[in-house]
Amino acid sequence: MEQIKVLLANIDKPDSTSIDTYMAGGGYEDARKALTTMKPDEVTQLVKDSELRGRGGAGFPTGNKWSFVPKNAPKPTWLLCNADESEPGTFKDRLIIEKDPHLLIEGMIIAAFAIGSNPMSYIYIRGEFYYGATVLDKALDEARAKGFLGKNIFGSGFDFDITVHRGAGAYICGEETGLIESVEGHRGQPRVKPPFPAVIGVFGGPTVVQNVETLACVPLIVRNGAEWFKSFGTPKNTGPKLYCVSGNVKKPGVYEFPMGITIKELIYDHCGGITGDRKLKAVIPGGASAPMLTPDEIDIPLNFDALMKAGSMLGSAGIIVLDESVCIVDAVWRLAKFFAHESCGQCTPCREGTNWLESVLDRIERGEGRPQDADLLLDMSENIGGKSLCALGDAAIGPVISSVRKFRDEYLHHVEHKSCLPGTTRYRRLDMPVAAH
Amino acid sequence: MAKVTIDGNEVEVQDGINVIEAAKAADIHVPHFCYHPSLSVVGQCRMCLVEVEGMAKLQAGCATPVKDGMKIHVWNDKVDKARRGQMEFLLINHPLDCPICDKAGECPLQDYSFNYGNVDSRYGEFKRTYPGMDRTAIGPHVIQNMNRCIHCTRCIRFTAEITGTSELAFFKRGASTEVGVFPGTPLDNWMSACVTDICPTGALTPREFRFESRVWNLDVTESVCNGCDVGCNIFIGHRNGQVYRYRPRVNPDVNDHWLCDYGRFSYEQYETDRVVVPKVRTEDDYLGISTWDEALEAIGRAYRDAKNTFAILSAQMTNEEASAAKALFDRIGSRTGVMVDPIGPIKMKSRTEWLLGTQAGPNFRGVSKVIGDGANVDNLLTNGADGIDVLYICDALFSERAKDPAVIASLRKAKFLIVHSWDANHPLCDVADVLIPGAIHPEKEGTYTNLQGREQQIHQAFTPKGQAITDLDTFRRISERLFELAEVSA
Amino acid sequence: MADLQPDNPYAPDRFPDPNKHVEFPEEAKKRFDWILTRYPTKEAALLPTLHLAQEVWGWISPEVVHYVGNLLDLSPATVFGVVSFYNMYNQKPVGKYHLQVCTNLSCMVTRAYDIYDHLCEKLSVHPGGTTKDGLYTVVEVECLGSCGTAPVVQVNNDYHESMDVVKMDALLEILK
Repeated sequence: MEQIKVLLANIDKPDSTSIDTYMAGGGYEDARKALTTMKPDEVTQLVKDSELRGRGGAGFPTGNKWSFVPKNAPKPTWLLCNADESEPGTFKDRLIIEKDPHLLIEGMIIAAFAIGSNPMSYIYIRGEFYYGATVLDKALDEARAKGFLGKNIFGSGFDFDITVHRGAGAYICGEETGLIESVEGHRGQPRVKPPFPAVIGVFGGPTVVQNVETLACVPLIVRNGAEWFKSFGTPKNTGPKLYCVSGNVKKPGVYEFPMGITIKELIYDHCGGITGDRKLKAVIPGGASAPMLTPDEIDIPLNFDALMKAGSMLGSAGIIVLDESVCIVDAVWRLAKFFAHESCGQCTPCREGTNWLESVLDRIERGEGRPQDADLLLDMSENIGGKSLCALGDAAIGPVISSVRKFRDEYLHHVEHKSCLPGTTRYRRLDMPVAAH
Repeated sequence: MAKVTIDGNEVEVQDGINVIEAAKAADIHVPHFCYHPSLSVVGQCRMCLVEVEGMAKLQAGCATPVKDGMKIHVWNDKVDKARRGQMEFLLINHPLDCPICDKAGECPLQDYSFNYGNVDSRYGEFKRTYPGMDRTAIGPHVIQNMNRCIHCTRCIRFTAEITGTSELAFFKRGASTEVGVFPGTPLDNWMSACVTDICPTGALTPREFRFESRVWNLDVTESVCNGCDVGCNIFIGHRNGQVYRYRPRVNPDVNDHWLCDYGRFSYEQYETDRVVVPKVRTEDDYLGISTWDEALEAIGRAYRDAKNTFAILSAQMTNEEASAAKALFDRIGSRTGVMVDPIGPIKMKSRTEWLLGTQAGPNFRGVSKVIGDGANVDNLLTNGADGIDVLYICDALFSERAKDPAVIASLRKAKFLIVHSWDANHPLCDVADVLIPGAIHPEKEGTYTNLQGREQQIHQAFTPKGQAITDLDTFRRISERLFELAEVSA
Repeated sequence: MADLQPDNPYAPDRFPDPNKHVEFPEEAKKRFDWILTRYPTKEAALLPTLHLAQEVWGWISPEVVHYVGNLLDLSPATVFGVVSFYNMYNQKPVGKYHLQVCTNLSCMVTRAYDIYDHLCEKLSVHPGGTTKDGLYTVVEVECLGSCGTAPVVQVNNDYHESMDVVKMDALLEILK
């Protein structure tokens, strides 16, 4: 499969963040078209027809999400852009924000028009993306100066403005209700559902939360039509898609393909294969929370449905490649540590469970494992999975369950021999003191 | 209305209420920690997981509104496994200190651990502790032991949603999440001790009740708080004639689940010297211990020739006592009056509205209604009891003003002063001609009328101390002595 | 009640000093007023206000918690709950250069722990600690969203990508 340049069409241009560069490529014409010639329902229908699915992780059909917004809610409707890209292995949204911010802004204008949004909207960008936030602020100022944001955009009578809301370092704020809480100025603790955000979200109003990449697709759909969008990928898994490849590969980075390139093709044909031409050990296909795949499972298209069928998930399409030298227990421990650190602490299974998972994995790695630990990890994971308040609990057990099932020997080796499998490396030093959470 | 099936029982409940409440209608208990009917729903303890047919995942009972035709399983193997899992998570970091924990015996965590806890633990790690937070006074009434906390946030939601003061909050996150106050802003709102009632573990305990008694050793009597005219419903926890604590009794129309600190700890006033025998002033002006017979005789003598008599009733009297007093003093021909001190206002939240307690007695409205157009007591206190032959004070604590030496002097201007009191240290006791031992509020039986006009029953927790009897009995005895015996002798 | 510990003994450094007066400088006040116009509720301005406070003072001291709480009509506990929830608000003063080493999986397998351990040893600080001269603070952080150019070290607000021990040493030479 050949690499394409659709979403990333602008990023190689000189001065790609300026509004002039963006408009030279036909920018903001799609928003003008949508706002002046189409009705909100028509835009929603167009997005529905394109079968665009949310790029943030869950893969929920975007058009459907928009149509769930009640038309006559007592409180104003809100559009929030989720730019809290914190999933380990994912760095695609950052590229769009830092290189092509106007594509996102235009997408937001169209989406806001379609759902009948409040005249104010927020881009929730993770606090660490300080540079991205300054780029966005500058781009917003440019768009405001041209009249693309503010009152009566394109003479359509539609008022809309965007504020960049910086997060402050919490993975959980990428969960949509956590994000909503964070925008409201609270701790980013996800809310219990129902009610769903489409009914009661931020500031009590119906709310649509969309990932950066999803919103970036919207102007392209308006410009080229639903059929064009569907010409990429396979039915139900349509469109161009950004894949982030990292870990032990020769050429890591963001790659754009029609949805459905296989993992094997991506790693070996486009990323130059594994570092040092070592053998592949495992692939995490969709960010840290996706269950691992073994080398004999990687001939699989990277789309929502195929990976779901294989027991993993596309998630945010952050592909982490682990070669044969990686100690799998160490790698899983690092992910468990991440989830324990990022658990918001409100619900029981996630608060206690993720920390317990980390402790047990750490113990095994330190050579203090017990024979029953592998089963303990599985049973504990079962008690977390599907029981937690938000999806973080399910995310935390993805790598644990899959690794215990697929690399049980390596776990048992740690227990029996109190050391890593020969030929594998532990990267951290066990004698370093651990900083408090 | 929605028809739902819960564990095979079909019940009809209001549409949209949650599964926990719906299950109550079917007399089925759904275990829960964080859910509280008067606080917002957060669904974080995950103990109330139930299976709803047609939904892949287990659902939190507190956050799932019922719909018509829903089939819910509260007790089956799948739910049981999940609940055991949650219980294990809660217990891995919970100290095994029930034997020294004040909550033991009324602790939901302890109760559920009998149903869902494992006998042995799979937890091979160190328990998480919060050094320095195991017996911290976070406010004047509340002691926190963070090690026992299960992070249900009931207390946080209470301070945010009921009192609106938000002294408590979650700090940090993940496994190190702690509930705390910010240094310099202690938990000192007027209902602070309520957090100890709603806390499902021994993490928050009231300072006053700490290590005082095991809860299963206490007798419990239903009563009504006598702190102000809101009339919060309470349980009196007592043993051997001693009050150990007041605890709110749920009444959605009055105090819901709450009780203010002033009322909750008002029983501490009873930890004082009690008047346990009648006393009569002798000819050489000595207030000496006497018998009931002598006391009644003295009262009878005083009233026999008296023309101008006055009785001060008290807002602490029950409706029954007030009626008896009114009947007695009407027959004597005595004027009656009642007064009450202003207080607060003390705010109390019922399920639907805020009530403002403004009177320092529980039953001013009831007593006023009984005596109708009463005489002005205020006037008496200010201008003195000159010219009054017999002044009968039905409760020395009818007003704080009665402790003022000037007021006492002006009351003493009455030729003969009869005082009812349970508090032996009350200055009025020293000046009385006849001192009658009174009963405290847990020793009474009767009704109070609160500010909503609601008549509420109080029950006798224990009998009055020593030779003290309830006011009702006192008035009956006086009445007998004055009239019936007089008739007999005539 | 002799066995009781005094009010929050575990956090003596959290007690606000009543003699310390904090107030936004003129510039920051203007910025704060602008922030308030961007949100429908006062509370929602908490995160940007805390960012602003951190820009002004470098960390969120107990006095700042009270000050921000007063500005936004929030209790100090609520404000501190938010401060301590998010990683980026410093609850202690940090060095002039806040060296944040990402050690999440993609960075770990490209040897981020070597950089982290090297920094701790070279600057002789405990993880999360600040050097005695107050120049550097070294912390281990979770994924910074730069996995394609791992390992990454964030110094204050700037990303330094595709790092290794040698490059880190060179960077330390510049950061003085």
